[in-house]
Amino acid sequence: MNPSYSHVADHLSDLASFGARAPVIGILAIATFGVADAVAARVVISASRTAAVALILAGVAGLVIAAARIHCSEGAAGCPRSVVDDSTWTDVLHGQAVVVNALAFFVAMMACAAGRVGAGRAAWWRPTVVVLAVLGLGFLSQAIGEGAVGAWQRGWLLTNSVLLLLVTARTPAGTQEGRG
Amino acid sequence: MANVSWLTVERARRVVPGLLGLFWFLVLLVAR
Repeated sequence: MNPSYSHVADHLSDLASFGARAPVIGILAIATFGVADAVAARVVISASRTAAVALILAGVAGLVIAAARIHCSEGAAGCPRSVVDDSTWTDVLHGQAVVVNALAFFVAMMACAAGRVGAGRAAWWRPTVVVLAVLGLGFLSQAIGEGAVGAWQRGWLLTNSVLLLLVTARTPAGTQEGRG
Repeated sequence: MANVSWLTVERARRVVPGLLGLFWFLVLLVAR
Protein backbone atom coordinates (compact mmCIF):
# COMPACT_ATOMS: atom_id res chain seq x y z
CA MET A 1 0.00 0.00 0.00
CA ASN A 2 2.86 2.33 0.90
CA PRO A 3 5.63 0.62 -1.10
CA SER A 4 8.71 2.47 0.13
CA TYR A 5 7.57 2.73 3.76
CA SER A 6 10.25 1.51 6.16
CA HIS A 7 9.22 -0.25 9.37
CA VAL A 8 12.57 0.77 10.84
CA ALA A 9 13.05 4.34 9.66
CA ASP A 10 9.50 5.71 9.32
CA HIS A 11 7.08 6.66 12.09
CA LEU A 12 3.99 4.61 12.88
CA SER A 13 1.94 7.80 12.56
CA ASP A 14 2.84 7.99 8.87
CA LEU A 15 0.67 4.93 8.20
CA ALA A 16 -2.35 6.77 9.63
CA SER A 17 -1.53 10.13 8.06
CA PHE A 18 -3.28 12.31 5.52
CA GLY A 19 -1.35 11.22 2.47
CA ALA A 20 -0.96 7.54 3.38
CA ARG A 21 -2.70 4.87 1.39
CA ALA A 22 -5.24 2.86 3.41
CA PRO A 23 -4.76 5.01 6.54
CA VAL A 24 -7.58 3.12 8.26
CA ILE A 25 -5.14 0.37 9.30
CA GLY A 26 -2.85 2.83 11.06
CA ILE A 27 -5.78 4.71 12.60
CA LEU A 28 -7.36 1.48 13.89
CA ALA A 29 -4.05 0.25 15.29
CA ILE A 30 -3.35 3.46 17.20
CA ALA A 31 -6.95 3.79 18.41
CA THR A 32 -6.97 0.18 19.62
CA PHE A 33 -4.03 0.89 21.91
CA GLY A 34 -6.03 3.76 23.39
CA VAL A 35 -9.07 1.55 23.89
CA ALA A 36 -6.87 -1.18 25.41
CA ASP A 37 -5.52 1.29 27.99
CA ALA A 38 -9.04 2.34 28.94
CA VAL A 39 -10.25 -1.26 29.23
CA ALA A 40 -7.21 -2.13 31.36
CA ALA A 41 -8.17 0.78 33.65
CA ARG A 42 -11.44 -0.99 34.37
CA VAL A 43 -9.54 -4.12 35.40
CA VAL A 44 -7.02 -2.47 37.75
CA ILE A 45 -9.27 0.20 39.29
CA SER A 46 -10.01 -1.58 42.54
CA ALA A 47 -6.35 -2.44 43.07
CA SER A 48 -4.99 1.00 42.18
CA ARG A 49 -7.14 4.02 41.55
CA THR A 50 -4.10 6.08 40.49
CA ALA A 51 -3.19 3.47 37.89
CA ALA A 52 -6.75 3.42 36.59
CA VAL A 53 -6.95 7.21 36.25
CA ALA A 54 -3.57 7.32 34.52
CA LEU A 55 -4.61 4.52 32.15
CA ILE A 56 -7.81 6.38 31.26
CA LEU A 57 -5.74 9.49 30.53
CA ALA A 58 -3.38 7.39 28.41
CA GLY A 59 -6.37 5.88 26.63
CA VAL A 60 -7.93 9.27 25.83
CA ALA A 61 -4.54 10.51 24.61
CA GLY A 62 -4.28 7.39 22.44
CA LEU A 63 -7.61 8.18 20.80
CA VAL A 64 -6.47 11.77 20.24
CA ILE A 65 -3.29 10.44 18.58
CA ALA A 66 -5.47 8.37 16.24
CA ALA A 67 -7.89 11.22 15.48
CA ALA A 68 -5.36 14.06 15.14
CA ARG A 69 -3.65 12.68 12.08
CA ILE A 70 -0.42 14.14 10.77
CA HIS A 71 0.07 15.34 7.22
CA CYS A 72 2.33 13.50 4.79
CA SER A 73 1.63 15.20 1.49
CA GLU A 74 4.11 13.03 -0.37
CA GLY A 75 2.95 9.75 1.14
CA ALA A 76 3.80 7.71 4.22
CA ALA A 77 7.28 6.71 3.10
CA GLY A 78 9.95 9.14 4.27
CA CYS A 79 7.39 11.56 5.69
CA PRO A 80 9.47 14.49 6.98
CA ARG A 81 9.44 15.58 10.63
CA SER A 82 10.13 18.84 12.39
CA VAL A 83 9.08 20.98 9.45
CA VAL A 84 7.48 23.59 11.65
CA ASP A 85 6.26 25.75 8.78
CA ASP A 86 4.28 22.83 7.37
CA SER A 87 2.76 21.77 10.68
CA THR A 88 -0.97 22.12 11.18
CA TRP A 89 -2.73 22.12 14.53
CA THR A 90 -3.47 18.41 14.19
CA ASP A 91 0.25 17.65 13.72
CA VAL A 92 1.03 19.60 16.88
CA LEU A 93 -1.82 18.02 18.87
CA HIS A 94 -0.74 14.59 17.65
CA GLY A 95 2.77 15.11 19.01
CA GLN A 96 1.50 16.44 22.34
CA ALA A 97 -0.89 13.51 22.73
CA VAL A 98 1.99 11.07 22.16
CA VAL A 99 3.86 12.64 25.09
CA VAL A 100 0.75 12.60 27.33
CA ASN A 101 0.02 8.98 26.41
CA ALA A 102 3.57 7.86 27.15
CA LEU A 103 3.90 9.68 30.47
CA ALA A 104 0.43 8.65 31.67
CA PHE A 105 1.08 5.03 30.75
CA PHE A 106 4.42 5.14 32.59
CA VAL A 107 2.78 6.61 35.70
CA ALA A 108 0.10 3.91 35.52
CA MET A 109 2.70 1.16 35.43
CA MET A 110 4.59 2.67 38.36
CA ALA A 111 1.33 2.89 40.31
CA CYS A 112 0.61 -0.76 39.50
CA ALA A 113 4.07 -1.77 40.68
CA ALA A 114 3.69 0.22 43.89
CA GLY A 115 0.06 -0.63 44.54
CA ARG A 116 -2.02 -3.69 45.20
CA VAL A 117 -1.93 -4.92 41.61
CA GLY A 118 0.12 -8.09 41.81
CA ALA A 119 -0.01 -8.14 45.59
CA GLY A 120 0.99 -11.45 47.11
CA ARG A 121 2.27 -12.76 43.81
CA ALA A 122 5.68 -13.87 42.64
CA ALA A 123 8.68 -11.72 43.55
CA TRP A 124 9.66 -11.19 39.92
CA TRP A 125 6.49 -9.31 39.11
CA ARG A 126 7.14 -5.79 40.45
CA PRO A 127 10.74 -5.40 39.19
CA THR A 128 9.66 -6.77 35.80
CA VAL A 129 6.92 -4.14 35.48
CA VAL A 130 9.33 -1.35 36.48
CA VAL A 131 12.10 -2.53 34.14
CA LEU A 132 9.73 -2.95 31.17
CA ALA A 133 8.15 0.46 31.77
CA VAL A 134 11.55 2.18 31.93
CA LEU A 135 12.67 0.23 28.86
CA GLY A 136 9.51 1.24 26.98
CA LEU A 137 9.89 4.91 27.82
CA GLY A 138 13.53 4.64 26.75
CA PHE A 139 12.47 3.19 23.40
CA LEU A 140 10.04 6.05 22.82
CA SER A 141 12.56 8.70 23.81
CA GLN A 142 14.91 7.24 21.19
CA ALA A 143 12.12 7.59 18.63
CA ILE A 144 12.06 11.35 19.16
CA GLY A 145 15.46 11.66 17.51
CA GLU A 146 16.70 10.62 14.11
CA GLY A 147 17.42 7.09 12.95
CA ALA A 148 15.42 3.94 13.57
CA VAL A 149 12.32 5.74 14.86
CA GLY A 150 9.91 3.10 13.54
CA ALA A 151 11.80 0.32 15.25
CA TRP A 152 11.93 2.20 18.56
CA GLN A 153 8.21 2.96 18.36
CA ARG A 154 7.42 -0.69 17.70
CA GLY A 155 9.56 -1.60 20.70
CA TRP A 156 7.49 0.81 22.78
CA LEU A 157 4.24 -0.77 21.60
CA LEU A 158 5.54 -4.26 22.36
CA THR A 159 6.51 -3.30 25.91
CA ASN A 160 3.11 -1.59 26.29
CA SER A 161 1.28 -4.76 25.28
CA VAL A 162 3.34 -7.03 27.53
CA LEU A 163 2.86 -4.62 30.44
CA LEU A 164 -0.90 -4.56 29.92
CA LEU A 165 -0.89 -8.36 29.95
CA LEU A 166 1.20 -8.41 33.14
CA VAL A 167 -0.83 -5.91 35.14
CA THR A 168 -4.24 -7.24 34.12
CA ALA A 169 -3.37 -10.92 34.54
CA ARG A 170 -1.83 -10.16 37.93
CA THR A 171 -4.70 -8.16 39.34
CA PRO A 172 -5.80 -10.24 42.34
CA ALA A 173 -9.03 -12.11 41.68
CA GLY A 174 -11.98 -10.73 43.54
CA THR A 175 -10.72 -7.14 43.63
CA GLN A 176 -12.25 -6.08 40.39
CA GLU A 177 -15.08 -3.70 39.79
CA GLY A 178 -18.37 -5.30 40.68
CA ARG A 179 -16.84 -7.79 43.07
CA GLY A 180 -17.10 -6.71 46.64
CA MET B 1 -4.07 -34.25 31.75
CA ALA B 2 -2.19 -31.00 32.18
CA ASN B 3 -3.17 -28.74 35.03
CA VAL B 4 -4.63 -25.58 33.50
CA SER B 5 -6.27 -24.19 36.62
CA TRP B 6 -4.56 -20.80 36.03
CA LEU B 7 -6.46 -20.46 32.76
CA THR B 8 -9.89 -19.27 33.75
CA VAL B 9 -12.58 -17.40 31.85
CA GLU B 10 -12.13 -14.57 34.32
CA ARG B 11 -8.41 -14.27 33.65
CA ALA B 12 -8.94 -14.63 29.88
CA ARG B 13 -11.35 -11.71 30.02
CA ARG B 14 -8.88 -9.60 31.96
CA VAL B 15 -6.01 -10.04 29.52
CA VAL B 16 -8.05 -8.87 26.51
CA PRO B 17 -6.40 -5.38 26.49
CA GLY B 18 -2.90 -6.86 26.33
CA LEU B 19 -3.90 -9.35 23.65
CA LEU B 20 -5.46 -6.53 21.61
CA GLY B 21 -2.19 -4.63 21.89
CA LEU B 22 -0.13 -7.64 20.84
CA PHE B 23 -2.41 -8.28 17.86
CA TRP B 24 -2.07 -4.74 16.52
CA PHE B 25 1.65 -4.74 17.30
CA LEU B 26 1.96 -7.75 14.98
CA VAL B 27 -0.16 -6.01 12.34
CA LEU B 28 2.15 -2.99 12.51
CA LEU B 29 5.16 -5.27 12.08
CA VAL B 30 3.94 -6.24 8.62
CA ALA B 31 1.52 -3.53 7.46
CA ARG B 32 2.83 -0.68 5.37
